[in-house]
Amino acid sequence: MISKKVIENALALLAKRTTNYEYFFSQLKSPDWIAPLKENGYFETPPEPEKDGDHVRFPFWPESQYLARVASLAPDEVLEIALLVGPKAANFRVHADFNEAAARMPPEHASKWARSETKWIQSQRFVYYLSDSLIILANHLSRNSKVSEALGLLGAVLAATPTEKDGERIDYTGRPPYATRIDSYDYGKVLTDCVPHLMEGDGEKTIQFLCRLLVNTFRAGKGNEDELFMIWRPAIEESEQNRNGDRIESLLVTAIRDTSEQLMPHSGEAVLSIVEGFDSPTLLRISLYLRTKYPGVDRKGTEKHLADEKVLTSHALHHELYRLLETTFGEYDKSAQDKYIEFAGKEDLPQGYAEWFAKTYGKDLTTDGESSRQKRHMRYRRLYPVRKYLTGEMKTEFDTMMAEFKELEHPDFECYTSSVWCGPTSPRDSKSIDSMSIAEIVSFLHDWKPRGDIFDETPEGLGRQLAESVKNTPERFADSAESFTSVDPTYLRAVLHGLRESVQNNKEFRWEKVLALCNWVVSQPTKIEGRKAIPHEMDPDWQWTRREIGSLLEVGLKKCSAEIPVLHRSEVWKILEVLSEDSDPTPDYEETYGCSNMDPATLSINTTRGTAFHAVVQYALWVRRDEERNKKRELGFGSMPEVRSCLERHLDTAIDPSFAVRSVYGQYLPWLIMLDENWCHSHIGQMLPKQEERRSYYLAAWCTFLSFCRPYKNVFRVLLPEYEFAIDNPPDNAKVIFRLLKPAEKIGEHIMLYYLWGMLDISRDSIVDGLFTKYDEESRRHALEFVGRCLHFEGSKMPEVEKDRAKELWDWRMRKLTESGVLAESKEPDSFDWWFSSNVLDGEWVLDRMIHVAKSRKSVKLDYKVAERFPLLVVELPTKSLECLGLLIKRDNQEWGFHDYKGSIKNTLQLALDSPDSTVREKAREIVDVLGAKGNLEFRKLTKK
Amino acid sequence: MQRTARMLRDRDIREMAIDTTPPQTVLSLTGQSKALYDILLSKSPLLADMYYGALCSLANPSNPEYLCQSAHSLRELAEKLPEFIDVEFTARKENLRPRVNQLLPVWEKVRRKKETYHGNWSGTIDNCLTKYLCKSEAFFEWFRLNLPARNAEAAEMIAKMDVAQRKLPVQILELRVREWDSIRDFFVGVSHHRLSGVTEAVMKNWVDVLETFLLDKLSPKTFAEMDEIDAAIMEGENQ
Repeated sequence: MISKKVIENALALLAKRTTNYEYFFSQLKSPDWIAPLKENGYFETPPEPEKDGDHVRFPFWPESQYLARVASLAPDEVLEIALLVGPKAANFRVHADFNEAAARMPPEHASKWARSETKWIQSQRFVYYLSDSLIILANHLSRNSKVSEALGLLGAVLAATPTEKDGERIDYTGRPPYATRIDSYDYGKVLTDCVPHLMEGDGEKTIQFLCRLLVNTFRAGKGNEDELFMIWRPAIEESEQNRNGDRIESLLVTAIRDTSEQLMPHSGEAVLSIVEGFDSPTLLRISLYLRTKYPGVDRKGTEKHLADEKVLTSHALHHELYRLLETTFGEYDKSAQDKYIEFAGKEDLPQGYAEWFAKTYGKDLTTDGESSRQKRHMRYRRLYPVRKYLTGEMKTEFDTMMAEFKELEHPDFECYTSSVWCGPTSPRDSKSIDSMSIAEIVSFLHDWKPRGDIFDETPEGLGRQLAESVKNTPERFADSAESFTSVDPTYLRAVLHGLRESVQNNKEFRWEKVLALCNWVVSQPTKIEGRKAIPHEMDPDWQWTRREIGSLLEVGLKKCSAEIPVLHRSEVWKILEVLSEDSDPTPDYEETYGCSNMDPATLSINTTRGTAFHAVVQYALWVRRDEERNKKRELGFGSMPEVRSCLERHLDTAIDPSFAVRSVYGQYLPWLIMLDENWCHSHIGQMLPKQEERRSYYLAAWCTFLSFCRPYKNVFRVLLPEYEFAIDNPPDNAKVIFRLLKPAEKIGEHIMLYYLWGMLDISRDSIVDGLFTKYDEESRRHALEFVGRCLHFEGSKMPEVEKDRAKELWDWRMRKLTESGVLAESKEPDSFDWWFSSNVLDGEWVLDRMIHVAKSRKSVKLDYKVAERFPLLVVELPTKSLECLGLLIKRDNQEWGFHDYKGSIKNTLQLALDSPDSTVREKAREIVDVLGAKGNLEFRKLTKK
Repeated sequence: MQRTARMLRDRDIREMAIDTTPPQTVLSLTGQSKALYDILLSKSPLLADMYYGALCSLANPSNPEYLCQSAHSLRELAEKLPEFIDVEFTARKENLRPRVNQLLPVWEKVRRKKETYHGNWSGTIDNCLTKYLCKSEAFFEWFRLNLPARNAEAAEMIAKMDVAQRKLPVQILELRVREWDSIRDFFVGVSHHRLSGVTEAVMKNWVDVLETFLLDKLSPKTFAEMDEIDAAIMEGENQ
């Protein structure tokens, strides 16, 4: 008996705060507390489930957890509370505790609770968190001769009920047409863990229970799910053909099969009687399975089935019947065997077979003599399982049919599924092509013809192997490039593709013949009259080859060891001139493929003219490099009029309406400025048109520029008006294809870098000011986070002046947010984590700002990056660091808050607790207590030192 | 323009960054009082001033109204506290009268209709009555959300003060609400001269109760209390 004084003291302590309450109940070991606590109102009101948006939380109840722990010591008191509170409690966790409590009580007590719980479960649609406790309770009941109570409890949990789509037939997507109170994982677990104990208690009752559950589950579906179940489970035994093994019916079938097999050796007839006692095709399949494994049990019953035409013609029973016949046919009475042979010999076809045949094969069974063949085939199929038992004339006849119809594949399954890998394959691999001469290769490419079957080798597959061979030894193909003018476009493209890859790998070859081959291709009409190509396996015309040429030239014109020598300038331009006028992409094509799934920049490298334009810019840079090498006077595009003319011509949307091509101007804008600043200055209005009706062309070029190019100091002067325009006209309502390039985020990055470099300032109406007043909140947050990331990753290389400008920017932004009264709600301060954790900004500055941010917000998220800096800061600035850390911890309301960074916080607090300064120690102690109050009890160790 | 508590708070937050030193005082604070003062200051200088003012009054028995004035400041502190710990019920300050005045003309119009009102009510729900019922519905919804019962507000405040930010069990919450109500009632009673026979010792005792209550919530001594809980359990289970 606990004294009143102790009780009062304990009650006062536990009632101080949630943590005390939880801790108190978690530490109780004696049941003596039950009565006094009950007198004081405990054990009466379990917490209700808490709705949080679309989710529901089920809070723990420390009181029921305590009761579960002491139930074996005070079963009467605990049962009384459970029976009083349990039926009204909506919180599943409370039920789980009471189930565990009951499992620790004597069987009579447990039975009382089980009956109450069974009723409660039956009133629920779903039950969560209960499976484990129900398993423990059911097994406790089974082990103590309370099988009926255990079955009642499990019956409630495992029962299926019709779904809302009442009356619908089986759902071929695999969703079951019924609902269960627990999911299939838990369902399987309950069966696996409970059935063995039930079997020990009463085997036959358990099988009966499982069979009833299965039949009721099928009935809950309200269609003919039982008959169609063979679709999901073609075999009762374990088989790769079985699908959806986690379907409830399948779990039950396995359980019935396994439990029945346990009893078959000694109570076989009783088991078969139970299983066949239900009118269920699936249970009859289980029975046939058992009869196959135990042919000696109830032989007469088996013979009766073999004489039953309904059984013999059922699709649902086919697999089990086949195996029964094949395995045990020889063991039955001659008369039973003869009856089956007689059935097999019947010259009939199943009902509806003629209609099915006509629909499938377009042939009329009655008129063209097919009927007798089909009947013979049916006879052959029926005799097939018993073929090894046939003798005499019957055997002769069967052998004749076998010669006609061949061996059956998977005859035991009505429908057998298998899978094979499908993709482009080649008649020669690259190694084999390596060993052939060019003449042999060309000859093979001419002679080999695909058969066109679905799993056969294809030209695409051969092309891939050819490209691999070219990539490895490009020079021999380059020197004989002219030989490939006669091969299929699919193979010629593969040769060029291989050459491109070899350039990328810096493998040199002579370009003369390659360029001649490219020239030959572009001189051909793109469409090939009369060509019949296999879709997806052969190039439809020369278009893909032309695109490949654009890509090859783009790569070959870049600075590398396999670069095209500049002496081929005229040949190269001749090719580019043709490709830059190619019709691909057409406006229709861009509308179809560039609409929502591909931005213009991506489209440009997947179209012929777009690829050619990439090569045109590379061509200009290639010429410029040569001029620099030869110290020629730079004339801008004056020394390459062909480029200037091409670029100017395609700025006219009447000639080139492509957004993909326009994006190439944006992608290379800094390089175009470098090549000819004056030209860019005079054409920037065409490259980036400001008129509303041409805004899509503007966005195609501008968004690509922002996305692909970092800011360059030397182009800032030319592009300043463009940045100003972009700030005044945010891409809020831009089409998806442009938004894919994230222009609003990227312009923030550009502006921030120009600001840090001192090229922009934060004065009123400046570009920086415009970014923060005209762009949306997410873009503003991103811009500040970008600076934080720069400080975090590159801060050690940044000049001090840039860091000072960053600090000035932050203070300016926070001041603005405070003045406009939106600091508490703004997302911008969230970006400070990166600034704080950068380690390059002085401790006092970051701590002051973090304190300011934390104080301004109702809740914060303590990030691991931030936590990691505190152990260093607390040594340098202990008081301020602890003030900041304490504030962050108090305001961090994340459920799983301190997981990642508990170590850093612990180190910080340990350092502070070791401080010679008592104020610092006191402050650290306060934080430790707050952490404890939030449930982080592991910090208690810090107080014990 | 009327200064709302929200405006005061915004001002305080701005000022906090500039000046966080306690006011120059003649009364120096120690121990529990100092701890509570610091915590209140971290919430708002306004709260800290109220508390400090109450202690200053209490320390000046030469003022015949010293107990009432001290109680008045503490009553104000209790009144303002919920706003500074982010309790959602900020509309308590909103006046009920304008809302009632909005409803009144519609009500009078309904009463004037002879078809439905002739000493008692009968007839069908016409447009006029529908309009009144809709307005009434909106009014009571506003009332429910904006003028919560004192207990509900206290419960919300106590829950918010618990750093664990998890729901307190109902029986504990009710206990704490009753405790808070009695503290508040005492100071309201003294400040309105409704309680007789309150001595300085009684007043100081209630100040101590208030300080303990707030410090328990705002500055928990979690692990020391756990040690005490362990000791209590051990004592109970060894008896």
